[in-house]
Amino acid sequence: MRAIPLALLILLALLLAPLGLSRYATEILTQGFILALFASAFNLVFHALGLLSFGHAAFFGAGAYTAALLAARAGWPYLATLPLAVLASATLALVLGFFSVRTSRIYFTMLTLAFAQLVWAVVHKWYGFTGGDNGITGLEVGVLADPRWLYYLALSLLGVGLGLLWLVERAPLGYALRATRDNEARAEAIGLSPFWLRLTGFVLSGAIAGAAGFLQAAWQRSAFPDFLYWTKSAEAIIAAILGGSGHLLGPGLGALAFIELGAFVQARTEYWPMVLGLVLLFLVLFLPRGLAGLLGGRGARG
Amino acid sequence: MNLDLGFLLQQFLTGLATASTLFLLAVGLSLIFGALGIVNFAHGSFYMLGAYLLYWAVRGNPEGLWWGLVEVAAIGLTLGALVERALLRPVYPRPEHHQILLTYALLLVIEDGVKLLFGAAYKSLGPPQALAHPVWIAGAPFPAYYLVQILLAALVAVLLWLFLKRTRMGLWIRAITQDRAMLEALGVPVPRLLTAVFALGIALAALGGGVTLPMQTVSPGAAVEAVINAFIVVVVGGLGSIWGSLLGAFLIGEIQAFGVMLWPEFSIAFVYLLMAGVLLIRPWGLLGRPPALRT
Amino acid sequence: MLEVREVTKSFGGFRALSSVSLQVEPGRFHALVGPNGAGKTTLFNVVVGRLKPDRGTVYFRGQPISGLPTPRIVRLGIGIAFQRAQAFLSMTPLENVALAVLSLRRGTGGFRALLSDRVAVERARALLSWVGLTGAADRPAGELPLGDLKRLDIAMALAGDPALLLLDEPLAGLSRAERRQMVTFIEKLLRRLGLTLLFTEHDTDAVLRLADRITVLHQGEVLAEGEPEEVKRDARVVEAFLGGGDA
Repeated sequence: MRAIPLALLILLALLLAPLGLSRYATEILTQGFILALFASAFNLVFHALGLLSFGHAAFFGAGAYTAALLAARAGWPYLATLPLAVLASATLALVLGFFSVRTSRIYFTMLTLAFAQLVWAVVHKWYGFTGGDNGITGLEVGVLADPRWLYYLALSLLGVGLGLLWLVERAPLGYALRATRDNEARAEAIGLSPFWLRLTGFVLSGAIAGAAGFLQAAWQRSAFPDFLYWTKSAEAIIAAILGGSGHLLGPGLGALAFIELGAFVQARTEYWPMVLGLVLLFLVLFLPRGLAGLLGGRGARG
Repeated sequence: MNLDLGFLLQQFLTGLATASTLFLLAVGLSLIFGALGIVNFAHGSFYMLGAYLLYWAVRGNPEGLWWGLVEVAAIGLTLGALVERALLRPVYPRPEHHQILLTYALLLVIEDGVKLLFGAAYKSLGPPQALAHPVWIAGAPFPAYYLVQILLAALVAVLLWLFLKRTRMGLWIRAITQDRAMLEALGVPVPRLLTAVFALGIALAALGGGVTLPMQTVSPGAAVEAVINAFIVVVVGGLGSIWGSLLGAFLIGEIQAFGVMLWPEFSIAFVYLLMAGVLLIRPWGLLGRPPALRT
Repeated sequence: MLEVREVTKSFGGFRALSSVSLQVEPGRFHALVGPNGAGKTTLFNVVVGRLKPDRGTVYFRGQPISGLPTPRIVRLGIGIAFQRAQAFLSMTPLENVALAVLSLRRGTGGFRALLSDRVAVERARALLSWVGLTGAADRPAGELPLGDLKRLDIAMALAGDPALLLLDEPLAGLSRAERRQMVTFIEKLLRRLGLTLLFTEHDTDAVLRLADRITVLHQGEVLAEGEPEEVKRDARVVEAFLGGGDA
């Protein structure tokens, strides 16, 4: 078990990092953790259920807007909004999932995309409530205004999220979720109900995505309709595939790489999407198993 | 609200004009899915690119529209064939999400590429002089260009139908959605056929973008809106069905036109309601084929 | 145990089953035979809840089950194994069976890891050893040969201690040697468990050896029913099989 000392070393480095890093570098790393949490949540649906959701931005955004609205309009302390932010995302996932998980493959992808874009359109236009395309800005986030505190909160929530996903992966529920993906007929023939299992996985995934959205609004001290836009969903997809969706840590790894690459490129050119597109083309054509595959990880884990 | 006949007719024709663009956009997406089994996320990007290409082809002169449209369609064909050969062919045997990611990457590249070439500002072009005046129908004014748009889409629908029904290649394309192995056994050049279908779909999307430019400004962001609209049309109509695209485009065009009268800011909600309803009752779309029982 | 009463099922204009009735008595091995297209698989799918009959009802222990979703039917005590062996290929056989055991016995709730559930794992190992897969228990199921997959499929069907086992073509796709093994296996194993069995099969020799009772389907109707010896002598059956050229 040589992996354990290495893991402890990495954990120690992550805990000490803000003390040695610049404010900017800390913020970028925090952004990486947020996307890592979001991408790991997305990956539960993508990998365990075998369904490609193009609508997870809706849950990310629901978490962010719930926190921002409670803090800005109802005067809640920002940290206290976390449970409701997660609950709101889970509820939205329950409603959208109820319609979406009965379809599969490409229909599921298009449906989640269309629903998320509907949520985006409402948030984008409902000036009276969500602030429309101006968003909600100037949030009071308390101690989280200090990048170090936010860093540690993001790191902890990422840890909690990954821990939860790890538990689920090994628990009967995780096996049952993968069973519906592997073989629906056999799953039903051992008494599993694919619809309810998919809905459970979808809601759990949406709830964790909501926690990531909560962090994002604290990070920017604002909530914008962009949080719900489909490019946000695409970021999770890209991170998961970049890092390798077959490993628990793959999506998080991909997210960190994605954010660091983005920061590097954006400091030099405004054509980041172009670069990203070219990187993706390369990745899909020549490196389909992601970074985890490159490192010799087990790309086809169950 | 003024509900006289002329006004209703005006709304109906506006809806039909929207529908004609949606049809050109969605039918290619549907054809490509039927033959290649790939959902092209970059489909809206070729639509947007079509509008920019027209803008470039006519160099600001609306009278060059017709010849410009021919150029746009020709460039669309070429571009489609190149993309299929170079990028799609390697990913046919791959899992679905690789194909989606690949076409999404294409979307990003095209969007930024257009920004690089044309700038991020909105571009517009008026209709040709002869069509710049409204025509009066049942006492209400109606842009003459809309009628051209509608007629053009109808013409494309008929030509496409004849092509698929009466030509050998059309027969192959219809057959490939059913049984690809059989076609290969019969000696049909399937790879070339796939290139042709993709090129045709892209040309239709580009043409749709070009045709719309005289009535609508275009910006790089138009791609996303377009592809989502196309998704909705094919989900409602049935993926892989030409008549489904026609029906879906018609329904959504009209719902948008009349929805605006009822609830202007959120008229899009009606479209989503229709889609949710269709998915609950016929998940494979109004004119799509239900999947066979899984064993 | 199981009663199919006047079940009719059509697809479009094609009548796959017309007013089919049959009774499976407790402890019996009941075979469902007939040429291709006779309606065997349709009837199988109706019984397991994957198809809804147009008319008629299926009863299990006197309770109507037609129209119930498959997971509910399975939980009443019916085990199902498929014609084309089905398993969760990303998992090991042990995980496949342990999941089936947990699902059918206490549900899949809780955060305790599947493989640290001693009761489920022990039960799964026992089932795997019954079907002769002990050696392959921890290999990925995706690497198993078809014969092993079929036995894994049967192990999963037995996971909930069913009273009735449904096997759809247990011999299909197997080599001659594997067929012999499978027949012996079914005979020994199931007799010992005291199960009731309803199975469809093409292989006439296997049917005559295993079945206590045979129902012959032909063009969606029950052509004959009885003890193997009676059925074998039935002129209509002989004609249907020889005339159809498919036995």
